[in-house]
Amino acid sequence: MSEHTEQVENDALGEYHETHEHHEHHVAPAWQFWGTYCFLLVMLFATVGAAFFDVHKYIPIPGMNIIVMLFIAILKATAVVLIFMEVRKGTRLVWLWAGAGFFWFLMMLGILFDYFTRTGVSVVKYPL
Amino acid sequence: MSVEAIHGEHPHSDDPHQTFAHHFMERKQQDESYLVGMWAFLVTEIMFFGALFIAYMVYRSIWPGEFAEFSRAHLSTFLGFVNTLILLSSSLTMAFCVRNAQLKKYDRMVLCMILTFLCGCGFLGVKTIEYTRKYNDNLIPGPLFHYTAGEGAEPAAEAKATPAKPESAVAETKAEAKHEGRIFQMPEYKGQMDKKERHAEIFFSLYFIMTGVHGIHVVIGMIVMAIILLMYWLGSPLVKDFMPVEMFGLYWHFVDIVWIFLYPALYLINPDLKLFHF
Repeated sequence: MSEHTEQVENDALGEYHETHEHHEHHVAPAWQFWGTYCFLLVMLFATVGAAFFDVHKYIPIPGMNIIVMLFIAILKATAVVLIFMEVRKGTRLVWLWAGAGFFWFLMMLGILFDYFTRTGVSVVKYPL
Repeated sequence: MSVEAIHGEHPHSDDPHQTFAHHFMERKQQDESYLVGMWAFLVTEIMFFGALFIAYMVYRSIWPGEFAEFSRAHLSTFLGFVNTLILLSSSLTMAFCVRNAQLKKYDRMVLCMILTFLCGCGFLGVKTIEYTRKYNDNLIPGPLFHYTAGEGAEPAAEAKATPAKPESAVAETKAEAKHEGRIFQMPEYKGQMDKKERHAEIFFSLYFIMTGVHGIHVVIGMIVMAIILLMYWLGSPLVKDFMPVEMFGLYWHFVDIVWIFLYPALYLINPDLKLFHF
């Protein structure tokens, strides 16, 4: 795309003009934020629904409700991180740092589940 | 320190969106450094809240049924829902606040920040209602903690009038503890509590530490918002740069994410939960 074409497009979109003119900082279109908000609201109702609806009856896996609710929470958090926190358009370094925190948490969970799945090992030494 | 002192020798220094400090090669590099710095801080926050969530998972795995009962009896799903709705909305207004700062629409930026601030007030207001109920129901962990099953709890006067366990029963509990090889003895006043009440105290300790620390983060966020607004009204050119607002936005969204996990973990516990029941 030539520079001239880009300028015309930017003018047509109005508010994009200023940001594209000087440097490469992109501004997300408003519909993305509204779309994410609607998604989050739908997911919120889905979480509450999952709490009152016995998912375990239909999918006979122990603790299916909490699995569904956590899955929904992860979806919501991902939407917030990618769209609202703008990691989606972040540089690789930003992706690395954003991923590092969640990777650390996954490691902690991994260690915890390792304890849970070993028979004869109690996580809490003094059952109250 | 004035803005000129920071950005003095660079071209476009009249445009806050284009200025950068002398130790950066270009504006883009400075923006990335800001973002990485903020994310490094958020990683430490993930570690902090992550540890609390792990602690919660450990105890919930031990007493899944009781945790469900405590949650159903004393935590309002509706109030939690309202608070989630408020925080999600505040994330939207914060996202638009950052967007307007990037587009230099400062009036809209201020409006969005005020809306976000009001959402924070609403969140804390609902939290105050919840905490007041817990206080009235004697559910603040400590010497006055008293758990009663069922919807709501007995008034404080009745709770205090509950007869204490006889000395023999306390001794029996201690002997039982010794027999079970416990290495931890509860303080003397806990001798009057039954096991369920101790478990309830742990549940509410986790509830208060998790929601309390989250609430403190909301308060800190509101203070920072007030400072940004004040700086804007005082005409500080530092606020005209969108990066401070964008970095604050990251913080606010993170606080929202923590609540996204807190809500199902604390307020929406299904009684049939058996995931961690080994």
